[in-house]
Amino acid sequence: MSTPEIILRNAAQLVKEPLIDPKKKYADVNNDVCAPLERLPNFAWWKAFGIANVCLLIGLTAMGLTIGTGIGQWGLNRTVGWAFDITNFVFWIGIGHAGTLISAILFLFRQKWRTSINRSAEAMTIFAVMTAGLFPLIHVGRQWMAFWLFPYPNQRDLWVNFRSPLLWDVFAVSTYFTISLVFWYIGLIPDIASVRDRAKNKIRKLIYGILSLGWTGSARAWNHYETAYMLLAGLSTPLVLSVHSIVSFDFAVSILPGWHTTIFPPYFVAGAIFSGFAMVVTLLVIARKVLGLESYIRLVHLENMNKIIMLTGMMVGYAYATEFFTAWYSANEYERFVFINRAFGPYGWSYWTMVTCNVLIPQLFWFKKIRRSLSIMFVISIFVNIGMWFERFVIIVTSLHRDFLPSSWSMYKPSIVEVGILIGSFGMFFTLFLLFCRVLPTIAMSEVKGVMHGEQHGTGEAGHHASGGAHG
Amino acid sequence: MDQQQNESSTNTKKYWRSIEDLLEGNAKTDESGEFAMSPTREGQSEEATDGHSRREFLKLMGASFALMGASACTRRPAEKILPYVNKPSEVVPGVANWYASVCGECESGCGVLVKTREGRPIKFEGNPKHPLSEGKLCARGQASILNLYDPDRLQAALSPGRKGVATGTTWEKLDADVVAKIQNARASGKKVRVLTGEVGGPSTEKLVQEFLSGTGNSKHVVYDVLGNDEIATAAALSYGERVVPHYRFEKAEMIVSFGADFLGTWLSPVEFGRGFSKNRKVGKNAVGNPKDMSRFVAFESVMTLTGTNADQRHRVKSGEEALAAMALAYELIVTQGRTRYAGDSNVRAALGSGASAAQTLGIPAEVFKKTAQDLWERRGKSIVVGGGQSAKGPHALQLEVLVNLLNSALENEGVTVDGTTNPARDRSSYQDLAQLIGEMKSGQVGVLFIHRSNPVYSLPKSMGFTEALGKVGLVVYFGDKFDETARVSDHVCATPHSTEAWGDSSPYTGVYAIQQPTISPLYKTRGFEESLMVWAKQLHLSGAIAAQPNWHEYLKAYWRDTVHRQSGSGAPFDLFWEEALREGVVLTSAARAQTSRPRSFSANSLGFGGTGKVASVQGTTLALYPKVSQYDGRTANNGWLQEMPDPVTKVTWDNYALVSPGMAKQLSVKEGDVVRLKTQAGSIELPVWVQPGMHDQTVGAAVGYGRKGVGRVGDDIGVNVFPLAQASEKALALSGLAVTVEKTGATYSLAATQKHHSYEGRPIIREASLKDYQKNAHAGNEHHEHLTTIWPKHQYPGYRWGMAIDLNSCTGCSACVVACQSENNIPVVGKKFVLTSREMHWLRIDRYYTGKVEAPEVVHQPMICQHCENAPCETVCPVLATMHDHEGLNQQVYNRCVGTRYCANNCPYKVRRFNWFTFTDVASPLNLAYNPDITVRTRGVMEKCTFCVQRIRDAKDHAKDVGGKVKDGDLKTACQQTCPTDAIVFGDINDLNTRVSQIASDPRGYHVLEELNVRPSVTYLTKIRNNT
Amino acid sequence: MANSMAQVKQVITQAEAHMAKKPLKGVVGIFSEPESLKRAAAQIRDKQVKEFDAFTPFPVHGIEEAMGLKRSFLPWVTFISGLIGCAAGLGLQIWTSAVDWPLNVGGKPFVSLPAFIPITFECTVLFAGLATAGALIAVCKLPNMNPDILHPDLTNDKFALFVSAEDPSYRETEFSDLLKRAGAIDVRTL
Repeated sequence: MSTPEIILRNAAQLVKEPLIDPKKKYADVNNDVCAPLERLPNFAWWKAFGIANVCLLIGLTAMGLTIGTGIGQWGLNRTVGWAFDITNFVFWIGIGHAGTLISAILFLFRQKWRTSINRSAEAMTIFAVMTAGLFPLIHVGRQWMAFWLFPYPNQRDLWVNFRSPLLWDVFAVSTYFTISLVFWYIGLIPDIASVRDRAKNKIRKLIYGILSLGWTGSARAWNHYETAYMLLAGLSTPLVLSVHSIVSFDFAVSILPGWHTTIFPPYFVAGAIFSGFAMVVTLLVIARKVLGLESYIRLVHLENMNKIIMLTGMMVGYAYATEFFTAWYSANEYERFVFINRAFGPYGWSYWTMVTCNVLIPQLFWFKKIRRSLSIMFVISIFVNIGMWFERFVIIVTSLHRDFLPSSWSMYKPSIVEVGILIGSFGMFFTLFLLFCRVLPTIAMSEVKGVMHGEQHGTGEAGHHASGGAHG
Repeated sequence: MDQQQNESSTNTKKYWRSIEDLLEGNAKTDESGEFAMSPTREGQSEEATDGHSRREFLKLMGASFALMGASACTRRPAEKILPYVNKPSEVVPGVANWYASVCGECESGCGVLVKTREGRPIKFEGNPKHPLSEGKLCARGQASILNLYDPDRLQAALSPGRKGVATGTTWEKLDADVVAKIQNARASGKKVRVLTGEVGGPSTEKLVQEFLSGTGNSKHVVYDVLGNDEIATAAALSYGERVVPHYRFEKAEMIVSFGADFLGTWLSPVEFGRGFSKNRKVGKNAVGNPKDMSRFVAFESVMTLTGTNADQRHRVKSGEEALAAMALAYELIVTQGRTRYAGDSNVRAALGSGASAAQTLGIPAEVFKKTAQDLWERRGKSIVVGGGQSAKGPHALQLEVLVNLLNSALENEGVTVDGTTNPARDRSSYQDLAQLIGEMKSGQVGVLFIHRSNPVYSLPKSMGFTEALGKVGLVVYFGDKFDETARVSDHVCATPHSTEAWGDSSPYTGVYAIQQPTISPLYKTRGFEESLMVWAKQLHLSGAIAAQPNWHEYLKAYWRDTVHRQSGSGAPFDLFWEEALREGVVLTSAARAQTSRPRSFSANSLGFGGTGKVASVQGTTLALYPKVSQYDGRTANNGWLQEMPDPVTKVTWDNYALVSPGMAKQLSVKEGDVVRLKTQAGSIELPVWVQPGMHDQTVGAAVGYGRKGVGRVGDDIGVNVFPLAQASEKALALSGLAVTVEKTGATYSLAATQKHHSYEGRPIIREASLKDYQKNAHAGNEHHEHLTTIWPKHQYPGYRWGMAIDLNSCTGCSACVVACQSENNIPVVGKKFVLTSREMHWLRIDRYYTGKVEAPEVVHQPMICQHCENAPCETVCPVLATMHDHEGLNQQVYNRCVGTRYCANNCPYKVRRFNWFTFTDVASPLNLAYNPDITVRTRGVMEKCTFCVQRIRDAKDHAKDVGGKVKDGDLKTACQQTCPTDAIVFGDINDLNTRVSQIASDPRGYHVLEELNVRPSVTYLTKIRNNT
Repeated sequence: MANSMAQVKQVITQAEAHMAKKPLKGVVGIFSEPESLKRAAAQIRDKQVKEFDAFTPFPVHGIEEAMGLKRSFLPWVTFISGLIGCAAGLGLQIWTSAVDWPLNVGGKPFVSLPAFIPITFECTVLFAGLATAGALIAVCKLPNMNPDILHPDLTNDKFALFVSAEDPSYRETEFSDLLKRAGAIDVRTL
């Protein structure tokens, strides 16, 4: 966007900056948001989709190799039993959290600005959790037996171990996925109805008709709908907090120095929101351009998210510091060693990468100019995601590779196969997201209209004429 | 108070940083110091190394052996053999039969029990009735069973005709040719020669003699490249009789060793280890005085397993061991004027050069002063030994003579050093070999038989053995591989494994043991003795040979005529024979009486038979030493041994140049840098391993590597260093060789299982000096956590299994590691995967260094699953694949495990092992070595020590049959069973009277990482050092 | 509680009425913005009309009051199904770990309550969430494969008020005038 335009926007900030371009009418919302669904995808989309698919294929090949021959394909060893696999798992689960936060928590806090971004953020959640869910399944030694992790009595009436954090994960992640999906779909119903009603050809009408469950927008239905939406938001909020807390239990509940840490739950949740928002920014900076939705996903939205990124960034920074203090204060030689080794040991480089990306770089958002500069925020959001990936890597690998008995200390070096799987996870995520952009409204139209509604008082007349004209 | 003492006991020790740091010259000696892992060694990329992956190798094997493998299951030898205990001897499916026999892996001749299931041998264990092994066995003995099923063994006779190609033949053709050639030789007055290593069997000796006497102009030449020629020769000088004495470490309270690796590779390590440990045990584990233990002072150049167990270890340049002995003798006899030789002017004169010795060696005089005093105080109860590689140096003879002097002077002669019941290990003679080569060169030898010896591999070029072979009419090689010597022979007689053939042994005068076959030969092989019998018949020789139809009968006849008579047994021979087969060993009345008389030392021998004075050696020297796992390389194709971490370096699958940190710094090399070693004899390239405790001017290199033609596992592993040995007319020098070391710039990956060598002052190792221990039995072990739990504890009615490991007894010999591997079907993963820390051993021995880098103190800590009461691994397993049983065992359910590896991550002891690939799909017949009582684990499954649950099951079934509970001592885990030093004790800890309960309640007892409150079932006992 | 029960009854009667699926009869007014719609709705309600409904592209605030709709009863569904989920989750864990096949895991008691909390919580949320969604779909009489679309733009930028002829107090001309006066841009009778 050109500089004069930015200046203009900044000027607009002096008065209360509108969430939606004031020039927009109700009808424009449908036209603008549904447009991408109704025209053939542009070259940019095809390019992105192609790249995503190639990555996905790389990942599938790597997974095939692993399942076909053995986990030995990875760089793991007797001392370091987890590395890329669980790092990726935690990373993607974390990404998911921003979606739920925006759709649920901001909803409860009546943050109107969420309406432009919650749809795509929720979609991101769904796809991120799907990607994450892959890793617990493929990281096991006998992937074909992975279903044993689900609670059912096998032929020997043997159930599962409900004391194991990994099993808590199974419940947490599947519940999180289910509820997020339902929440998302409930939100979609009215918009799908809109798409149905403006559909020109039969098949399209039929498909969206089925998906919309025959929604008519009856006020009596809206009455229940709003209650249900609020309830689901209320359920999702503790859920999203519980999910990453439970993921953090995978480590916190173990006895390994560097894992056995009581601050993990809040620390992980903050980190998750941090990385999640960064990913939303990454996605939306591109999406709003490609889908031509600049007047709905506006700088104010991105700026608000950048503020949250800065805040949560400082929270994780605080957590890093706390960990070191606790280690020192505990006077436990194993604890102390692990943290010294974490920062100055052979994996020190990864620790400092993490600190730089997560704590230092987000500080740039103190400056409004940077907060509102698309290119810079895009770069920073990428850095944050790199940093958060490394945070999990640091926690997992540096704690494992040098634990209690020095005799079994060892080093971990990722194999090409693991890298392939990491690439594949991104491929899967972006493939799904790009498809979503093609087939479903990327902005919650009904909610946006709700927000516009208030502002339209002044221009009510204009609204009349416009729509009247449209009708007459 | 306690806290402080604990602090002091753990933190006052000096540590140093990584060896690299030392080289950079910033050595630290504060407690934060460490042996850090060197970056070159860690996270080795798999591509970077030419991995000898056992798995890959096995995949190659295909099904070519399947048929024979299958048939092997039901075949039993034709002759009548009797099981050790179980009668009747018919195979009961699922029930093991045990046969007494003799271990054929080395010349010590330890008695073994061979465990057979459905007619196939599956495990070796020591024979408790045998006076040497007393039920114990070393790592190589434990691994012997794998050699039986080695797919690369020769399966039939070959006639390569010196062309190096394995051309098959039939025994008939071979016999015909051999017989013809012998007759020619006889006709043309050419010589017939038999060259063997030490062959312990008296019947074999007799047979060879008779065979040769029948073939006229002939001689039996014995040469073992690692033999004890010098000791026997020195004995001849000092005592007038050429013997290798019987060393009785169990009677020694003060031990001084000049480079003799008696716990690892010298003479009879199992027996010596057993004897040595008897006087090392204190407290409730003690055999004798619970408050005292022996002192062991070692003077050595290479850091050996034995050296790591010394209370005081002093570095001597390789080749100067004799000088050290001289210094000690001088101190004792001249300076302190003690012993009966103090007045002997000849002796004093001969020791003259000892005055400056200590100084030359750079060892403080007080060391010799103190040592001499200690020796004198314990005269008659001490022992001085010199042997192994140190007895292969320039002054070997001098060393041995001085050792004799010291033992005689200290009145150990006839007590701890017994020249009367000497082992049959004194035949090896370099002189004879040199003479033989001479004869060969001059074309006088018509027929040469080579058995239990691989001269082409082990003799340096300069001796010209290989060329000499060219002048021999017919070369017949006995061996089980188409190896170096086989390739240049006319005929190769494929020999069977020791479990496939009859034999006997007489490890000491008056001790006779029978090697009875437990399976009929898998292949068309024929033993050395059997061949001689056949040929004797065809040559129509007269005498006992003619009288007996075959080797088995010949052996039986020998026992009838000799052993039965000497034994003084009243029983008729048939009963005696059956009893002998059942027991496996017979002691003559003389041996039972055990009367030994001191030999008188002749001071003239201090002239060293004119081999020159004891002198210092200039420059850097090279010591070629045998490794515990490989010895002279005869079983290089044994994957268990190749992957067994060296007890000292913890390196697998390679040999290397051992250099001290000092020398490494001076050469600016680090682990993995390849150096070129040049001696007069030649030059080779080896990767460096920086080894604390090495002498700064000595390089060590292990023999037994770089084999050719032994098979897919062992071929070209490491480098053969024998070519660097220096042949003179008197002896073949393996150590004290003048060497130049230069850096080549190349690097090579060495696969070590332990990469960090300091225990960081953590209370996982607890030790104390004997003095402190005598003052306070809790010394070094004062601090214990006060542990509570908020949960009601689970009850363990009936049995509750536990273990006690005495760090003071464990020498780190690693027999348990291989025993566990054999018992529990533990796969070999190959160098490639050891490099990535994926070795599968359930039982590992952690080796830590403390103290000064020049003279590190070493502790060996066997580490297995601790079977914690509050097992962290169990809580985190999502599928209940690991949980506790009602007897306190931490169980691993293989078929339920999905392989999340969470348990391994959460195991503070890191004893869990994961099947990264399918390591167990071994091709026949290796699969026959599997223990049928143990599941073979598939890929993707976690595994770990089970406390040998199958043995527990077995013992409980047995107890049920006879009624009552399992008797303490009836039930032994595989590691405990083979441990030569009884460092491991296993049993029911619910019963306070069991030995394990007793030992665990010793004040020295502690749990590793007890502060975690995981409540391990394994108790460790503090290490006590008698060094102050 | 009582009034929510009443609501349920109402819903059911509506559902029954719908099941009959006879062609819609009544008068519908199309509005272009919500305020006039609300005004019209309020007036209709004042005429004691029950059988009427509004259609909007987004939830219009204040329409509930205007139409005299009561608070939704869905929170009760959520609450009760949440309790059920909680009990089910905890019950499953205790039964399998302590009753069906007790195993000594890490020396912990068979009923390790602290360890059972996370899954209990997750089950609570799962049950509550799914039940709420299900109840919503049911109460909105969804899925409905051929809904009566009164105007294609009702999910876009138009608002509609429909009074059913079913209602006893239905007076066609009066209502259509009322809708016109209220600001309907188009009034039709079906």
